Amino acid sequence: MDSENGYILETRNLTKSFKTPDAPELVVLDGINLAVPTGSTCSIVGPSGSGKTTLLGLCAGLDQPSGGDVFLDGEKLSDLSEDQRASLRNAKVGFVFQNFQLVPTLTSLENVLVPLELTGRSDRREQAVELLQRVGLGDRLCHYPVQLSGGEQQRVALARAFVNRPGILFADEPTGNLDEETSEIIVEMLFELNAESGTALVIVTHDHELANLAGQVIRMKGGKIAERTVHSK
Amino acid sequence: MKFFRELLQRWTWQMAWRDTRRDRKRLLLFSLSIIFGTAALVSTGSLRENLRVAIEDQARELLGADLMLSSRRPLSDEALAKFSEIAGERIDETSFMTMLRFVDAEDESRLVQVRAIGKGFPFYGDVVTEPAEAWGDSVAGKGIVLEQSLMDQFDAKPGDFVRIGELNTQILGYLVKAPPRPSAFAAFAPSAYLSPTLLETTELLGSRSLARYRSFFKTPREIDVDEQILTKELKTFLVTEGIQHTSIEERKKRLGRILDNVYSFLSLIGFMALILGGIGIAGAIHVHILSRIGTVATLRCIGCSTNQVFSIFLVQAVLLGVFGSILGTGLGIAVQKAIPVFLSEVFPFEFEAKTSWLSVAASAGISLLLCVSFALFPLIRVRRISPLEALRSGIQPDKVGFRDVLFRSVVAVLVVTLVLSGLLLSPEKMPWLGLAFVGGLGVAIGILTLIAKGISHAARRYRSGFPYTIRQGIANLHRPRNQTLAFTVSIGLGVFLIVTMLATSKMLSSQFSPETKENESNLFLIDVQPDQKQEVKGLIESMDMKVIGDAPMISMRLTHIKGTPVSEIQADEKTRVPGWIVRRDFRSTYRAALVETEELVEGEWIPRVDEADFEKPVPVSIEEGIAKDLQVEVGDELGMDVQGLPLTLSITSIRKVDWDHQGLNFFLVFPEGLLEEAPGFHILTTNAGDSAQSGALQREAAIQFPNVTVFDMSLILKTVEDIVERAGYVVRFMSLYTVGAGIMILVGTILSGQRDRTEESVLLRTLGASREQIRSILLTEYIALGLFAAITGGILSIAATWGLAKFAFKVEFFTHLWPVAGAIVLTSLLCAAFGMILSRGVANHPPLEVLRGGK
Ligand SMILES: Nc1ncnc2c1ncn2[C@@H]1O[C@H](COP(=O)(O)OP(=O)(O)O)[C@@H](O)[C@H]1O
Ligand SMILES: [Mg+2]
Repeated sequence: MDSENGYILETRNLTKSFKTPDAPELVVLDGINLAVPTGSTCSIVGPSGSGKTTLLGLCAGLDQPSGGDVFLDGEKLSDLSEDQRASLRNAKVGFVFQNFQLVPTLTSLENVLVPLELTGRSDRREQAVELLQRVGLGDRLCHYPVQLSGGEQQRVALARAFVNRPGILFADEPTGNLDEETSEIIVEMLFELNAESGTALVIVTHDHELANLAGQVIRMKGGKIAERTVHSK
Repeated sequence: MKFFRELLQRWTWQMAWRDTRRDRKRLLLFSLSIIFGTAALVSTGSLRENLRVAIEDQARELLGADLMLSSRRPLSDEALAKFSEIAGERIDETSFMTMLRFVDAEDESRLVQVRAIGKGFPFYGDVVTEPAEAWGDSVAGKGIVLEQSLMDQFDAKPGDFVRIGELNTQILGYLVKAPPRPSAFAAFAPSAYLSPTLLETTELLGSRSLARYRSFFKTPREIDVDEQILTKELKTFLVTEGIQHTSIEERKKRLGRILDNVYSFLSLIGFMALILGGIGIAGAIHVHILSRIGTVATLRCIGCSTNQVFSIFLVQAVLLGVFGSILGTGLGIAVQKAIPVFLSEVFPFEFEAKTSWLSVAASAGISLLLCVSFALFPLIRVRRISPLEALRSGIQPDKVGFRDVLFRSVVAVLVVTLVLSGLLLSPEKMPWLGLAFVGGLGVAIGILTLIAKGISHAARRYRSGFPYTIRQGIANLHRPRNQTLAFTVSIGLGVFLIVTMLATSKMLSSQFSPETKENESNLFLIDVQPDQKQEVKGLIESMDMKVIGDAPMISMRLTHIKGTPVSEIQADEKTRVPGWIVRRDFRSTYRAALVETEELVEGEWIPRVDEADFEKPVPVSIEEGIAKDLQVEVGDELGMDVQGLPLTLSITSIRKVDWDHQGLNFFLVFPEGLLEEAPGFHILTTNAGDSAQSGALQREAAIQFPNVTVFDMSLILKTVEDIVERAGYVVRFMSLYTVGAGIMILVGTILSGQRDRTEESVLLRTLGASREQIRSILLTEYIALGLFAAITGGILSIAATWGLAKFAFKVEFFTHLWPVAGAIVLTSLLCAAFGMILSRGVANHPPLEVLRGGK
């Protein structure tokens, strides 16, 4: 199995195209081969429209590829049903979004608890509290997202992403909506948590500094991998 | 089945509850539509029940009892014992026709029907005499009570003496409100009332073979006379004993189809209001789901399964439905309780405000079921929200179309619940009405959908030189996320249902209004000899009244049906021919043409025969209903005894008669040239505006034509009119509910588009649009949507009203252009007004909020 090969994520010849009513088929991803070793970090950079978000969605099993395969922790995603993929996501995947995507009707703590509750492990409340303390929001447990700043919201999102100790975390421009200073804090936390829990990171970003922190940098262009840089540790 | 497991998870309910946090007030507001719907259903159910009781009470008053037995012989002890045991209290009556001599008026005499009734009659209703104590005194055997017209005719006063056979007694007074007559047309002679002991003194009984013996019974309320007492077995027994029976069921028929219509209409209103509530709730859930797309997408990313998210929102819909139906039931009961307190003037019939808990529970159950079924539609979308939405906002949930299995199953669920509730809520007499209504609804939805597609299409093509704001407003009708379909269908349906209901209620009310009564006969002049006819007509006209009906009348008895003697038919237990038809006197007429209140439905109308040949079967036209009862068709033969002459009748045509109009309607109509020589008389009818006019005519007729009897039907007609008028109030009152539910639909529909409108407007404002411009864009869109929806709904409602008039209520259809036009204007204005009020924030919102994500 691939996970035994040491890869948490692997794509083989992944393609995605969209049918448009009048124009010919729009190929957004074209033969992407990607391998992310367990516990490693990977950043994806490239101009807007080059297919980064699409790739992320496919890797996380949020969408169906037009061709090729995605292996997540050794599981071939195309073999799984939508609900199986959902439970795989719950167990193995964390998400951080550009626009935070906290559930507006839940408090910070409740937001962090959702992934645990989904699997019936609501007993691990302390863990959620602890994580929120780690991201510096120990005193904001009962606040709703509207009562938090963007940076604070993103930190809650980070806590939520890590609470299940996922094998891999996907982040789509996690600092895109934040100022420089706040961005730095978020990035620091991301890598800290990665080092600590062994969660692999896949980060889409425009921030070159951030990109270069990763062990592997993928440069996309026109739906293809234009360049792959592996930093030796 | 995974789905049901999710539905039972604690977490699902917890999330469902937490998710309402920020919107509880709005959700409560939304539940108003289902509250109105349920309240309408609950209170119409109870009103219907109360109306039924009121009608039953009136019917009891028309008979004075629950059951009447009547025979040519004194009722046998066996029969009396049998019935007294099961039917409760009993009062006996003996009556016969005899001459009444006015001692003080030089012994002049007049044929009267003498009625000797025991103490306590009638069981229902009361008797009023002038002077008041006259009735009690007559029951106590102190004298006789007469009809006023008879006394006027002989210039008699209370205290004068009269003779009947050997009895010499004094007149105690005259009747103001007479006791119920066992048969309105049985005796065309004035009645005289005395006690059974006085009757003995006349010594006429033994020699009188024409006496009638009746027993009236008062049964406990909970007993259904027709179901429980008049069993097959007892009926057979009565036939062998030669006893006829009458229950209030037959009396109720006098109240006519008008009340049936009111009753059916009430059922329909409840159902309509509930459907409106369902549409409202569907709209509300739709709005709610739209505001939750981000949440759903995020939850799905985190690993929530589609079943889990679906369960969360289904739980919310169920909670909303439970809440709405409980509050609605409460409101319905409150309204029903409040009616007698606050509106006793409006609803003058005795309103017991009895709450039928079974019907309340049924209403609440049906409304919850319909609410959830309607809510399933917007809920399908939850399953279609892609987790990708969290990465890339603005993705539209997949279009849910008919090709989708889920969509089809939800449609199936809704159709099944609608059909079931339609069946449950249909009036007994028209079990198909609910179904037809659901079918009509389906057709209306189809047409509205097509119209909506057409509007979008036209808006895309539309180019004009109008200012930018108007072009922009119209463009909103076809752009992505347009509201055209949702608006046209929901508002169109709302207008359709409400206008249909208002127009139908108007149509039914016109049945109740007095104008149409002017040409209905309430005075019947019987026994007019052929040579008196012209003079009597002259008399009527000289008193400023119109002669409405004029017909010769010959009475005859049925002897054979299709060759079988009626005695055999009566003896046959299996026969389904009702006994009363076999026993009745057929008062028939002859004429060359059909009258206004009838219509030929089958066969050939024969105006006259040139040569009367009674050896051969003679042609006759028969009324539809009685033909059904006798189980005869065109071509069948009936045997009749026409005053001693046996005749064979051949049915040549069948007529449909409108019995709602009190007039001269006959079961059998012969062609001219047959019965002119038969002993008979004429019957003339007219309409008296009030009792004074009626009294004057009765007096004059009595003086000038002593053999003519004037029969005043206005009392019975008045009872009917009273009930019908009250029913009209109920109908109008109930209509208010549907309007309430309709407004909620409008609010819901506008709110569902508000998010997109806000975003767009804020963007336009950052680009430099003024508030004025934004308002006029919105105004254009809302007015256009309201106008198209209302016009379509209005036109559909004309079709539906026509269908209801023709097939369900059988009333004359007339287009009510005013309600339709009014609804169109009003709906557009309301759309514009609510649109402006609800998007007031849009123009005022600081653009920043939306740029921050608007969360
Ligand atoms: N649902 C869709 N239909 C058609 N084209 C799409 C769809 N989603 C994305 N695209 C196209 O795919 C390309 C890649 O988009 P995306 O993955 O968002 O790029 P990035 O995240 O690198 O900016 C873009 O050109 C976009 O227009
Ligand atoms: Mg992107």
